[in-house]
Amino acid sequence: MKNLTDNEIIQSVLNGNHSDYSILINRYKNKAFSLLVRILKNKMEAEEVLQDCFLKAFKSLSGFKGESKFSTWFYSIVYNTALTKLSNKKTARFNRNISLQDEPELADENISGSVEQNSTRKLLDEIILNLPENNAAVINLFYLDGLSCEEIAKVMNISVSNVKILLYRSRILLKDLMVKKNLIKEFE
Amino acid sequence: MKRISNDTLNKYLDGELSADEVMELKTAFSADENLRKRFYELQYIHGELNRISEYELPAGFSSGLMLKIYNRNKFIKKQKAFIASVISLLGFTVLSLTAFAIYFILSQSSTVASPVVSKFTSNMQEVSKFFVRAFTHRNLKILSTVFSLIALASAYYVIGLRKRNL
Repeated sequence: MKNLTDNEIIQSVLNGNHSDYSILINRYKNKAFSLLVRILKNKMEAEEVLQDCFLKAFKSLSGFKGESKFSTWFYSIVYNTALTKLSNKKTARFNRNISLQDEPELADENISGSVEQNSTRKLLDEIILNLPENNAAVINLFYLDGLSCEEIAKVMNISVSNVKILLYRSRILLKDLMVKKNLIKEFE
Repeated sequence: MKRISNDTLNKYLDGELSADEVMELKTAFSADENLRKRFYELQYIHGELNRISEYELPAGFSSGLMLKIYNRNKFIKKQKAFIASVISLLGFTVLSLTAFAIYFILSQSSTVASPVVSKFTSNMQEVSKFFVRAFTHRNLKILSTVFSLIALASAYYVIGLRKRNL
């Protein structure tokens, strides 16, 4: 049952086997949760928003035409719901009209611990949490969810070239911060 | 020498450079130690990012969500049944009144009638008199109050159901 494709599960749910929706939930919950945590920077809010996203997706499952992958469609729901949540909170640092020429500011003062206390990866996670929402979203979608730049463009509703610019910029931001924190070994 | 941009290094990392551009970059690498360092740092970040961890949801998330979905479906079914019964009741009332009105008009216009029809007509006239008495000004007030209460109770029921299940 768990080897079914997303489209087969959706068809089964639409045929009335609503319990099959739990397979989709289990398949995507942690990845979508990670995306939400990295955008919203708050685990409790992320969990709340994720529930809304799964309910929204369930309600509009009949409208899913299968033109794109379910993951792309679902992540676009997750991303847009997260943005709505951020704008509702009015504490959003994300600005949709952000100029790609502007270098985002990193709030690195929240990064705690030292190399001795934490693994590099753990610190990298913390640094990603401090990235601006759109940079964190691109990193998560590209590296954790394994989406292509074309799929990320669909999820974020921006052009492929802008996705690449965001991705490149995010890597450079992370690199600079890691270098600043002496987290990258010397390369000779 | 031409300055190699971060974008070029990123494209090289993603395998998006042409063969000529790769050759040019490799030449630049051999001549520029700082460029090599910049690339290795970027490659290191890329490698680390490939291993970033997933955040784990608390246990019971899926079952809680499925329960919500189950309750929502139950609510939709109840709501549909409620709306269907209200519509049926209204439809039945409208149909009965229409049938009565048609019969009344036909009975008034017919000049010759069989004994059965005459008896039925007199009975219906009694019924119509009952309705006329029932819809006097005071009774109409009582009826409208009763209907308003029914409407309020229905709305309260639907809202309560919605709150419990969504």
